[in-house]
Amino acid sequence: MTDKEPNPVDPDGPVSPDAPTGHTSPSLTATGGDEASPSPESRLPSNRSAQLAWGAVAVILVAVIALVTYALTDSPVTLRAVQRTTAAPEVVAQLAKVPTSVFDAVGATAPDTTLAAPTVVTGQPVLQSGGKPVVLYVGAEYCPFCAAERWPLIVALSRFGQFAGLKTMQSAPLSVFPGTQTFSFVGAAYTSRYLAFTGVELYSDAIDAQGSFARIATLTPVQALALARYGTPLTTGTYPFVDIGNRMVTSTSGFSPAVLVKQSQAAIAGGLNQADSPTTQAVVASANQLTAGMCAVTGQRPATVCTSKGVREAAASVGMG
Amino acid sequence: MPTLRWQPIATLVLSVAGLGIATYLTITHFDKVALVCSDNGAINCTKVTTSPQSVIFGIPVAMLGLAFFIPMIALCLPVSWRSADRRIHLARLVLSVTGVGMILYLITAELFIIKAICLWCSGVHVITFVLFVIIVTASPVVLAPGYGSDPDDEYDEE
Repeated sequence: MTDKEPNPVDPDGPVSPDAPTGHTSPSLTATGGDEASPSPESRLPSNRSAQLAWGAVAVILVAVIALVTYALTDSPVTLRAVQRTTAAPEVVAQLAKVPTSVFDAVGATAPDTTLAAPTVVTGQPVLQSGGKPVVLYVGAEYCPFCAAERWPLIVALSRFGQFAGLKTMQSAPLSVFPGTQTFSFVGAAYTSRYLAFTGVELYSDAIDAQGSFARIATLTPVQALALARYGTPLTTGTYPFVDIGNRMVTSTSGFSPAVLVKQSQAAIAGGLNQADSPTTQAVVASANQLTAGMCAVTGQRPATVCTSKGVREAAASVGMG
Repeated sequence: MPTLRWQPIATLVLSVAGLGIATYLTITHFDKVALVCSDNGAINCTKVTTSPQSVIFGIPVAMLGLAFFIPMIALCLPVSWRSADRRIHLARLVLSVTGVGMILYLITAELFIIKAICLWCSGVHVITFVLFVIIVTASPVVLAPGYGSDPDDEYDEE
């Protein structure tokens, strides 16, 4: 296109003095010679067509700007209080009393569920506190994937010690897998001869005046270092994150929260004695894998747990066998 | 003489870029290993790509992106832009208008329902909008009677 030719996308652009800019001119068609094929001049877009085109662009642009402006200025924030309550003792007890026969029957297999196995770490000093290997959990109360991960984590830790003060929690209603039933580690205590446990919930499920989930904790430098070192490499600052004494880490939930949706906490916990339940298989298989990591940092103690069939199978499944 | 110089190559490049991002988003939608929550904030791809609004009539939106960009690439090939067949130019225009309508819905969903923004999705939105601008403003030329019937209508690649 030369400078003197009409600009097809800009009616105000440079135009040849000889070129028409409006609708087809009968006289030009006549002088153009070919009745069957419109002359080049007759094919020029009319000013009206070009104006309509740019008008459509302007309408879309204004619509987008209006949407963004409205969202930033007038969108009301729905405040929501934290939904944390003390977990029922019988539910917590069911997590601590999963029959050995179920652990062994499930092993590391959940036929109906895709499991995300934890990663085995080698060559690192064991993360310790007070002379005990530390299991570090980082998550958030609103997070549905954290909701899923807490189930096998609590089941696994309950084979080495006891929880007190666990809270009932559910993932945020506006998130994916809304209302996934779970627990919270806020205010919970864990005692064990073999392990120390630190559960950090960075955010609650409460929505603050800024429309964000309320921040309720920060990581210590050591915890932040572990998360930075072993967390999801391409998306730092994601959770759940579990570091079992620097020997086993996982930066995703062991299975999708889809396994748990629309089930009550009592129903999930109550079904943990049924090895043929797909939910139980997902929770227990993932718990066995985490247990294998815990056994690796406790020197395979207690032997009744660490030498059990289910844990040995799980250890083999993650490359620890 | 109406000419289109940069529009064909620009729309082709944009369509290929859009296909690349849509492919990535489709992979992340189905990636069962990415079972994570991102840090709390307005920019949160996981929240967007795994939200209930990420599926329309059972079809992941990311796959709808593939279904948009694959034919768009074909329609934005230089040979398609040169075609005398008005149906090709109408199809490109209709697809583009459909695409921009879709992004208006998705932006609304992100801002008011999901309350999070996905930068990758925003990249697709920008590409779709720019495609719309180019296609809709070039359409008066390519939809004009007789366009493409004269060999001289071929766009000037200089």
